[in-house]
Amino acid sequence: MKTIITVVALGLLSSVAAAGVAAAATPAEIAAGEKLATTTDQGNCDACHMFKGADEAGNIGPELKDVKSMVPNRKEFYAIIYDEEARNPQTIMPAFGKNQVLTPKQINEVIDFMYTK
Amino acid sequence: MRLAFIALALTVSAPLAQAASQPDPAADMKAFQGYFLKQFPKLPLAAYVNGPYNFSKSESDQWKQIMEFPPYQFAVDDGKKLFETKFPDGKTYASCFPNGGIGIAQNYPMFDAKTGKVVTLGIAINRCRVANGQKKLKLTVGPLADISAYMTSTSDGKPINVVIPHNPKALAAYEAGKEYFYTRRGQLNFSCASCHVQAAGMHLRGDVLSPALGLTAAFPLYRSSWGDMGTLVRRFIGCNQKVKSEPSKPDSTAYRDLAYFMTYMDNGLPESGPGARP
Amino acid sequence: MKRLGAAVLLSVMICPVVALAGSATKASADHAIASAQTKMKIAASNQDQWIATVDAFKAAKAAEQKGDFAIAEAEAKHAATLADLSIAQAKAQKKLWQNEIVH
Repeated sequence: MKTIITVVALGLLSSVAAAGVAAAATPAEIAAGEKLATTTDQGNCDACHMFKGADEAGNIGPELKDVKSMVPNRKEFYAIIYDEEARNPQTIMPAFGKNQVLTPKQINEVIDFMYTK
Repeated sequence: MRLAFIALALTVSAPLAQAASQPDPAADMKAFQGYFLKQFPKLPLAAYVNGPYNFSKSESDQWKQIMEFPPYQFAVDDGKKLFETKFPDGKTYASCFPNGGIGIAQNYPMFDAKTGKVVTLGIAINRCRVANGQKKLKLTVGPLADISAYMTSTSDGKPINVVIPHNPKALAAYEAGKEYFYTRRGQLNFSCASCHVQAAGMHLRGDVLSPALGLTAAFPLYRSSWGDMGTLVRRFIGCNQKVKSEPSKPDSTAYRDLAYFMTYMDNGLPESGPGARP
Repeated sequence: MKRLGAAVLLSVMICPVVALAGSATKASADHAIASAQTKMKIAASNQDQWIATVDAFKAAKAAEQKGDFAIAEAEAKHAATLADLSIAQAKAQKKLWQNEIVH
């Protein structure tokens, strides 16, 4: 069931990405991203990264502040979450996309949320 | 810096490859302890047995308070009773161990040449039970953790002294443990080293990640998040689950070898189990 | 279940390949389950079986028992995909682990 939805999401997203659509994130997408970023068995971003509104955040990764200037390029941001190890072999950041911890849709929601930080 | 290292590695790759094919546990241990001593120059070697408390004043203050009435004391008392209780054949655990089992926990895990396998203190306790017609106990929690806690308490302060004999199987077990320690696994793709070497001393959420050095010394331990005692193998299982990997069996070769490698790295540090952790 | 319906409807419109899952039979589900199982054995022997793989496999088996062959097949294929990923990871680590050794 989850797989089917994932596959559909993949199909949808790739068509959106191909069309180069960069519509502003909706409040619902941002809220979904926040939930993913702070949920332990999903994004769990605050286990390692401090960001405003995070409860008991870790400090293994860099603090996520003014994220738009940290990673202005959304594609690059996506690549970091998808598989940072491909860019930096020394990183200990999990490959959330490659290892299917998060779906492409979910990664985009996390990005939408992080761009508000 | 990394480039320089790669260049160096390239120029000396032939002797390095030769060295890699011949396990040298003593050199590994020296490098391992040296790495941490350099990383945290203010921290003396013996302090590593206190794990996370070296890195957080608030946790350390809390710990000092907790230690006025150590939460593992019940386990030590219960463990002593169990340890001294006779099996139906009239023997006790003392009959299975050198020096009657007192003051010997720092020598485990041990390589058993007969079976060609690593034997942890927990596995030795179970072997003793089987030898006396008793069922094995769970290796993670409960009475076995209590007996280990008592036995370990009689070794308090003794230097950890794991021996890797010149036996190809012992060296292979050591190497397998080393590989397991450094190999990333699970959907989150973490190795033991990712957290306990690379991110040692940092915060994962509210918790301090203990350095790998000294990590085995305080086991078995009372963890507030467990609410009871647990052995090192219980922690291995928990770590595997956290990185979204299926844990191995408590008595698996993988966990025996991992304990062998990790405890060998702690050689010379004072035995400090049972311990207490957040 | 409503979401599944919507997903299937969507997939019919977007991606005809996924729609084929609707025509799953007991045989095709069993085949997918057997194939996942083979891969999972390799992953386990590499000491890198992912919890999500096991969860998907269990869901596939449960759906198969209930006669939900489309779900069974999809979950089994998901388990196989995850097992493949973990096998590739373990294979890469056979060399990469040495980079993490402290010197």
